[in-house]
Amino acid sequence: MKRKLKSVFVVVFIFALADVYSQEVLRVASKTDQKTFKVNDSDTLKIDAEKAHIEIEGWDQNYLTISITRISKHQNGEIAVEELDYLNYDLQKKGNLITFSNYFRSPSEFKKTKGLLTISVAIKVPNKTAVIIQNRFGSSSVSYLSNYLSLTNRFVETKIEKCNGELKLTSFFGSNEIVNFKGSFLFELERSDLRTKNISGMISGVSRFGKVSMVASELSELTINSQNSEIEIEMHDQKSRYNYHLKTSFNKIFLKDGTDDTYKNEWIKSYDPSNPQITINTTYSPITIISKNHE
Amino acid sequence: MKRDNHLQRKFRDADSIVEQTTWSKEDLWNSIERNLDNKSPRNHILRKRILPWAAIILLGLSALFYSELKPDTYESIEITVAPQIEQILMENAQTQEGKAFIDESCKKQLKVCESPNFLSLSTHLDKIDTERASLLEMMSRYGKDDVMMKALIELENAEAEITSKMIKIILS
Repeated sequence: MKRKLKSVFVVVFIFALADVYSQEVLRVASKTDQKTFKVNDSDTLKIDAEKAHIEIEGWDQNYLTISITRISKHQNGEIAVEELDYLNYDLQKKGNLITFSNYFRSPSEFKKTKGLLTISVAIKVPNKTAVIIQNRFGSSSVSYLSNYLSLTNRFVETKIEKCNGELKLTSFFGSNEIVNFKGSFLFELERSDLRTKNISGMISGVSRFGKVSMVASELSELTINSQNSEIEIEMHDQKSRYNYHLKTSFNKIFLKDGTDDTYKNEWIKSYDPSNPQITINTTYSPITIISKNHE
Repeated sequence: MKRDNHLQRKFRDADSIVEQTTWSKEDLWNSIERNLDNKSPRNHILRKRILPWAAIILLGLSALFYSELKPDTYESIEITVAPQIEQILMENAQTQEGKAFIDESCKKQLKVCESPNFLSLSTHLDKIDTERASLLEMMSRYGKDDVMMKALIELENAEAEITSKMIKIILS
């Protein structure tokens, strides 16, 4: 009798354990489509995405490959598979424009999503192709491109790596990182962070309620107009290579070049009229310039 | 009877064949060696040289045909498991209280509510309200995952920060 009770207890325990396990894990259903396009130098790739993880890599081939993975998660595997169909996308090539967009469509207006849905897009594109990306709620990663790149993101984590040419970044509530970029960089940030490493060329931008932290060298111009944003620039050039006009209100300017000078609201310095100009304005926040060399 | 005669005749014929074909051992080996000399090189070339190349060519052709026949678009469904994200309940009662205080104060037509800095913050707060409505709609479509929850937390924090700044301006 005792043995029987023991075995019943073990079976019940296993079922209970399985039930607990099934509540704690999500079944992940995914569906992947792949497509290839021939691409000319004058073609543009335009992406209009939401709830998407986008990864774009430039390469030296003359065609584009795109891999679209729709992902649905729910405790119940059948629901996860069913809700995969709520994720839809449109991919086409018309003339010089290749467009990708994704959207949500449930079979009924009254049928609400029970699980978690997301889409993952991996693209390999000729590195001379112009790329325009719009994304909301997700991530965007771009590397090895050398033409025109534009990103407009809302609540997106962005990483741009080993690119050159013309870069335009608009970010609202985003986290942005740029590593190894050379060219012209224009940005507009709101409630966003921007971190750069090894960036050079012409930089101009606006930041509201965020933080800009740059490691730069060989700049031809740097202009930042910001509100309530902390600005920190670390330069790998001689401090005297540039002329400066730094201004903040209700905070301080810190110059860290071994001397650690602090200025109250404004600092203007012209070393040579032919030098590139660094102009930074902000409010309620500090400006810090770090240069490795003494004057 | 006829059948017996027939069988006996057949046995005799068979015995005569054996008698006619008497092989010496030497002849037999010579014959085998001759055959080996004739056939071996051909088999060797076939097995060691032609067959591997034929197999490689066949494999190459198969790969070529496979890549030609493979469709541009294909689909696969796979089921895996992932840990569930704990849902965070937002507590923004204090922010709502702060907003109510701002509304009450500005109803009394405080001059400070007309200041450019205050108006700029107020516009920012309205923008966050619009953004939250958009986010909640997105959450109903795509679910409340870590990306959505992070966005909601950021909005709540921004709202709290702006509300606090506006209260500071009113109280200053």
